[in-house]
Amino acid sequence: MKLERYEPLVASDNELEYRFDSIGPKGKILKIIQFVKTNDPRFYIMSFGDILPDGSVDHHIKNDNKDRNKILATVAVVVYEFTARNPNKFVFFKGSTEVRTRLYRMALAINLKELSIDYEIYGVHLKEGNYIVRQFEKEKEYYGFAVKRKIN
Amino acid sequence: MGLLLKEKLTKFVNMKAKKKLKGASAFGVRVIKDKSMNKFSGRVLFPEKLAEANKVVANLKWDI
Repeated sequence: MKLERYEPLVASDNELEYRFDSIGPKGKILKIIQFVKTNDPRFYIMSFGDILPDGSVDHHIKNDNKDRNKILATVAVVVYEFTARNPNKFVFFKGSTEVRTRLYRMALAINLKELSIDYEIYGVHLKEGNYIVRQFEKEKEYYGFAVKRKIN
Repeated sequence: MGLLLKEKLTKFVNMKAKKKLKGASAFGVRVIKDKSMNKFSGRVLFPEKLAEANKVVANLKWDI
């Protein structure tokens, strides 16, 4: 993935929160990513949003800072960092809207060959109240995604 | 005996090195720890996302 990314990543001591600055026509926007353990200890949820000037966070905000790909590439690096430290954990993620979920799917699909070297990649379907986990396939729509590091 | 120990140690160190997984540094991205980030720790910043994820993991069916 020879992509532009933001750096540095600023992490909390427990390495569950990461921040970086998005720079674009709308100025500097603080982005935060948090990993939280779910009720199933094998799974962490990765959530992503903006830090607002009052210190609160928002994951619905659309600020159109013209750096979508750079942000996605930076989030991917954060996932690498987290999973390097927590290789036995699954990271579950989905967009806060269907459009964003589709964007994640496209990002996974475009980089699938390279990502598959390092990750097991799964797509999650919602069907009759159950969440069916299958190997990720490029052309399919998903409710969400789960990745886990390959340890060879 | 000393040589055997050295060989074992080398093997152990090589194994450890092999298992080191690539993180941000592999992409040339620095990670800096900053105490100011700790104010976000220990609380769930996106509770609705966690609630959603808990619903997912409670009803997961693997079809692999």
